[in-house]
This record gives sequence, C-alpha cells and structure tokens, in this order.
Amino acid sequence: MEIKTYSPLDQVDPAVDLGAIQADLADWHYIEDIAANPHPKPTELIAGLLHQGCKMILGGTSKSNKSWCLLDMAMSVASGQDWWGRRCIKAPVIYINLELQPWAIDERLALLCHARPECKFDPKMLAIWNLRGKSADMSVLRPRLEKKLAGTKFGLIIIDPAYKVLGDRDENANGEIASLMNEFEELAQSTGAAIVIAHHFAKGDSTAKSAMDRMSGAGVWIRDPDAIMVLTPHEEPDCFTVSCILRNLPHQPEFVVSLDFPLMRVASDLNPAALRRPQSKNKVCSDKEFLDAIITVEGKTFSRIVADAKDILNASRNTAGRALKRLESAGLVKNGGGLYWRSPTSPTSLKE
Amino acid sequence: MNDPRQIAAGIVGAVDWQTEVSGFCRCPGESLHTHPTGKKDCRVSVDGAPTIYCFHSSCEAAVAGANRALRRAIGGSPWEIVLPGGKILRSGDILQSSGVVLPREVIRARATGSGLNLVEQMDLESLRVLALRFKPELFEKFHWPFAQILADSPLLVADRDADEQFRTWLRLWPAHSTVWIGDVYSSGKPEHRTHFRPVAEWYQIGPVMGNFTCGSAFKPGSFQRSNANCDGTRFLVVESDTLSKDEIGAVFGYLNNRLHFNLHAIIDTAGKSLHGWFDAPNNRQIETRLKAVLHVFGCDPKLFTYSQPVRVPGAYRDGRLQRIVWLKN
Repeated sequence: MEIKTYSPLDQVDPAVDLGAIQADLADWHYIEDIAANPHPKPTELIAGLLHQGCKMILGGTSKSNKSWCLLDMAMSVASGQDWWGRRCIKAPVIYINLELQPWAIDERLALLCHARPECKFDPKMLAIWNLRGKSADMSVLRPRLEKKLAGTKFGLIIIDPAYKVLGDRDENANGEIASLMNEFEELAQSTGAAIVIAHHFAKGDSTAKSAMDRMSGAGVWIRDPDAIMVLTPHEEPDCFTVSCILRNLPHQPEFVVSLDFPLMRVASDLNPAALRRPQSKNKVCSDKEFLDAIITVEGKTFSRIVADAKDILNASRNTAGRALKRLESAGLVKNGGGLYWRSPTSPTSLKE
Repeated sequence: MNDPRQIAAGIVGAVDWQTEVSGFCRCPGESLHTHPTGKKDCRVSVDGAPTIYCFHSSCEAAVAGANRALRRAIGGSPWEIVLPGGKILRSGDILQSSGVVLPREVIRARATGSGLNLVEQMDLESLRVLALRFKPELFEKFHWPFAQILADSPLLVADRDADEQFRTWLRLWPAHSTVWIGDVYSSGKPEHRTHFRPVAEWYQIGPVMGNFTCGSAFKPGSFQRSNANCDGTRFLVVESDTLSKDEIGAVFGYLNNRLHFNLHAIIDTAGKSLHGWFDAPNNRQIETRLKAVLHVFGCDPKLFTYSQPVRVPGAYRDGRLQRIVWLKN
C-alpha cells in the first residue's frame, strides 16, 4: 500500500468520496483579498519564456533538431547557464526520452557537454530516463511516473516526444488531446515542475499558416500550453525561425537559431521573417546573400543597390526592393538621408 | 409513476441490480480510468439521494456529471417501488441493508432531533447506506494485511525496544504539547496532575506511568482527561473492536488513499487490534460524516471522543509490548 503525505487542508469529505453529495467549488475571492494576499508568482525557470509549474510545447518539423534543442535546454537549466541567450534558474532536470536509443542520447549528451564547457553541474542535477520501447498512454504512464518521481524534486521535466504518449488518442480530436493535456497538467501539479513537451508539425508547407497553427493536430495543442515555441525552417539551410507564443509573459520577438553542430545558436544576423517556402527555391538569392553581397556598412543609394543587384545577383529592381524592405523591417538594414546601410548590430562577417 | 431503476439504466446503461435499489453498472467515465476496471468498481443507488459511485478517482468529473443528471431525472417526479413482501419504497426513503425501509418522515424527525437540516440528515443517512454498500469493496480494494503493513513501514520500528518505541511515538507530538499517560482511571483528581506532562518530561521519564494515552493534548496544569481540557492539538486514532489486524489496514488505506488523511503511525496494541494515528478532521462537517462512515466500516465510534484513552507504545500489556509497527518517514 502506498501511503502518501497530505496537508489537513487536502482532506476529502467522505460524503463527497462516496457520492452522497457533490463536491463544493472552491470559494471565490474579492478584490481586497486578492490585493492583500496575492498568489505568489512562480519562478521564471527560463527568463521571459517559462514559469515553474507551467507547460511548454516545443514544436517543429521532423528532424528539426528538437531533441538537440531540448537536451541543450536541459543542460542549461541543470547548470544555471543561459539557453538561447535567456537566463535559466538552476534546477534539477529530468529528460524523459521516449524516442532515441540510449546510446544515441548518450552520444548527444557527450557532444553537447563538449560544446558547452560552461555548463558545469552536479551529476544529480540532470537525469535521463530512457523509456524508448516503454511508450504508453500518458494516462497509464503518469501514475507510474509520479510514483517513480516521488521523493525527487525536479524543477523541469522534459517529455520527448508527445506522440509517444498519445496512446489510443487521435491527435486531431480536441477532446482527446484535452485529456492528454490534463495528464501533463496533473503531472505539473503533482511534481511542481515545469513540463516541456516536444511536438511535431503537420506535413506540408507550414509557412502558409500562422506560427501557432503550424503544429499538427487539434487546436488544444495550441490553446492549452502556457508557452509555445515553434521552430519553422528558415530559408537559410539548417536555420530555424523561433516564434514564441506566451500566455503569462510579455510577447517576445521572433529570432533565428542556426545549427552550429551540435548546438543551435541564436543567429541575430538572419531575418526571422525569411522562412523557407516551397516557392523560395525559385528565389534569385536569399536575404542573407543579398545582405552580404550588396549592402555595405558605408551605405548606398537605392539606385546603386538596384544596379549592384542586377550586376552581381542578376536580380530585378522589384526583387531588390522587396529584399531591402524585408531586411529593413528585420532591423538588419538602416535607411536615412537617401542611403541604405548595414545595421551596426548586424555582423560584418557573416557566417555561412 | 416513474421507475427510478429505468431512469438510472437510461443514464448509466445496463445495471446488475444487487438489491431493489442498488447495483453495479459501467462507469460513465470508464475511458478515463488509469487502472484496470473491475466489474464491481461502479455502483448506482436510486434510493435516498440517488448516487453513482465509482472506485476510481480519474473519472471523478464524468461521474459527477452523471450524478447530476441522475438526481435531476429521478428527483423530477415522485416514484414508488413495491418491494418483495409488499413493502413500498417511495422517493426520498432509504432501503437499509437489513431490508428495513427508512421512511423520509423518520429522516425528517431525526434531522430535527440532531439539529441538522433535512438535507444534511438525508445526506448522512444516504452516506451510511452508501458506506455499507461499499464496505465489501473496501476490504477488497484496500486490503492491507498486518504482515504487509510491517513490510511497508518507511521506518523499521517494530523491533525497537520499549524505551525507543515510546520515544519514537513522543516525536509525533509538537514539543510544547502536554500529553496524558496513565491508566484509564488516572484522571479526575488533583493528584493525577503528574500524568499530564510536557513531551520533553515524558522523554526523560519513559513509559512507566501507565498503558494508555490520548489522541489529544491537554492544557498545561490539567488533571482531568476531559474534552474541555483538550488544547486543540489532536490526532484521529482509528481503532476497531471488531476488525482484525488483517482487516483494519483497509480502513487505514482508504482514509489515506481516498480521503487524503495523513497517516503518522500504526500501533499494535498487543491485543487483537491496530490503531492508526491520523491527522484530525479539519472541520466539524467532515468529522460528523467520517464518524458515520467509520462506524459503518466497523470502527469504534468512541474514537471521536477527544479524550478517549488509547494504547501507548512502549508499555507492556500482559507481558507483550505495545509497539509501533508502521511509521511515516
């Protein structure tokens, strides 16, 4: 018999338990009570993105390095180092791996540790739980997870990936995904940890949809989590635009991460709006190529830019104009006094 | 006139009726169960306050919704059932397990007598009947035999000697508490003041002043073990004169697993029973209802008397040690 510890305030009325009466709803609070006793705000585990006890979904196309990103996140939180430029509060992390073979995850961890020597942590701060082959319905898995996790205080639980714990649920059915999300919520409530789940995009051209609609399946995937990070392929190879959709934290601008194996690093020189589209393979050049080849730090007039674009990239006046406009709105190009020049924040030596 | 059983079957599907008014059915939230579903896990009753009860907790919301529908449907119009033998059961009456019908007029009269309103009295009477119907499943689902209790103890305490048993038990109390230890009659006269001492003093003295203690602490200076002298610090000590050591564990398990009462220790009284030391109920309403339910399960209703003496660990009873057999870490 498993005997749990409860507060006296948790006691359940036997008449409710045996069904003789309905459970009372919790009391409401008047504004003066709220002002006098505000609910404590949870710690921001990842600054600007994720609170303790909240749920986050990291969505992306298949093979978009989601697992690498999440392992990097796990190491960052476990060591209290920044993740993608955002401060992390040091907390014990468990990574529940349902997809990769144990040897593969060992190898990835070794590579990441080597690439991030600043991430130094107590060995007990980061746990990897290999459950590949043990995938099950989350409703069945959660009580077992809770039982195993009892007595160990994790601040962050990463579940990779979501589809392995769907069970018989249809990922397109709102009701069924709502029950899955309730399971994650229960896990967050019972453990007090933030829960991060990896989820995939629907097949096809995701760029035609808004960031929050790119993920596969029912709308609840989007409505339920407190934070959503979407990795959308960028027109530059091995780069992804990251869009953050947050419930309780201020809006964050989109940014681009670029693969610098084995890490995904923030690439501030890339325009987040330049997504890879099916028609983009017909483009004369990418925004990055345009920026590198045509725009200088000293500045050029519009007609000079059009002429250079024609000579160097064989691009039309309209193509040059559109590229210039995109780069300007991304803050990579500045405009003033009839001249266009490279933003000082945009690196002069661009990486390829 | 409506038949409430047909109405119930319309809501929960086929019912395997065990009595005229109660039977097993398929849980309305069965798909939400996180553990295997047994044939007897969900029960529907149509007398008293019509109720669907499921043993699983993951289906709570679905069951609550079905209960609302059931009560709305059955409560909408009066009904009567003719029982075998010709007795009539009307809406609002309760069919007790003995086969006796508890008429709604009697429930109303009891409510007046006990100071409860009619709804509260009806809930209490329904609760007793529901608890009785649940009792067989209680001992099946929460079976926790004595040997398993010993094996499950987070701390291995059963083999400790008398002094250590006593001191371990003292640590359950807040340090400032005044605790009574003595024999049943060591109370009521000024010379009995020596039986009411702070925990720290008992720690020095050891288990020599008697075989009994009490689940409540007392006001400093008390010499009488009365409810009026209790200082508010209190445990609920669950005991039974009728349940064996292998049976009462089910009640302890139910109290913790389902009702979320914190279990601190289980004490072997060196007789035929075990005592479970729990947090006291946090309000009067839960206490009243718990008293009704535990009494139905076979526990001693005296356990709700705050100054009731109970066996203290570390003392000997007929040469056998009263000892803690399960202790929370």
